[in-house]
Amino acid sequence: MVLQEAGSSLEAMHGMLDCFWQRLGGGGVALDDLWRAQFTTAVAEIGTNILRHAYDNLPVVSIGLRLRLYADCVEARLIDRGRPYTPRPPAVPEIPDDIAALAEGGFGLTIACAAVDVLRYRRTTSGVNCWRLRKKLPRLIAPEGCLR
Amino acid sequence: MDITHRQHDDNVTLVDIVGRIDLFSAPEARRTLNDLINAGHTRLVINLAETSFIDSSGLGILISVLKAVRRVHGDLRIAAPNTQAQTVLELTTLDRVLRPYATVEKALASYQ
Repeated sequence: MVLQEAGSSLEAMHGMLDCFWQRLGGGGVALDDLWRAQFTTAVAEIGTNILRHAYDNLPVVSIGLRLRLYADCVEARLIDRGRPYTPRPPAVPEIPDDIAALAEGGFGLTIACAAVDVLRYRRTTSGVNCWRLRKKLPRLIAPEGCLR
Repeated sequence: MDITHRQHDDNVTLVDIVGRIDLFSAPEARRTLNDLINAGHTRLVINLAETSFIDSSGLGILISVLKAVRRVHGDLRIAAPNTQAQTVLELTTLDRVLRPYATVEKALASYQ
């Protein structure tokens, strides 16, 4: 199953994810709320990261999103032609004793990394940012033969 | 996203956030909540029961509000987060400082 949409904003991205979950449900692939929430959140955080860092918060940009169901996982690929991203290792925020010292940002990649099993970024030689996210399916959720 | 508020009693203000808190709606949420705090509403319950989605931008606002009310000896309670909001809080371990209450009633009662 492949859905594609280019020129999407966050609004379109959420719409596309909703549609994807509906189609999976219609095909007998029942994923619970927590699993879908984690994957949706990870994809949305990467979309936000693209808007923030590749396009300087412009409200409407061109982001390609492809969602695909595999036998053992769901994959999202996001592409854009914005500025290259300089990856930083995500870190779980430290909770200081003094609340005033608590960071108010920088959680996006931490959330995305923690919510999926694979998160990869690469910049192609033709100037395209490519993000790939994969999350393993819970076992025995799909009727036999549904995924093949 | 819509934000409304109502006075629960002399001390506590209940804020309802309906819809999605993301990169684009977060600035409005920040302005509205800052205005409330500046107007003296410093003991807040933010009701997320009708908040369909919250991302790291929204999380940043909740932390900002928590810090602002604590500076003036107030406090913030988070009420009724859905599975997605709960997930975001837990993945960042921020549920340790933004401890969610299952219902608005429990969050309000915690101020008693």
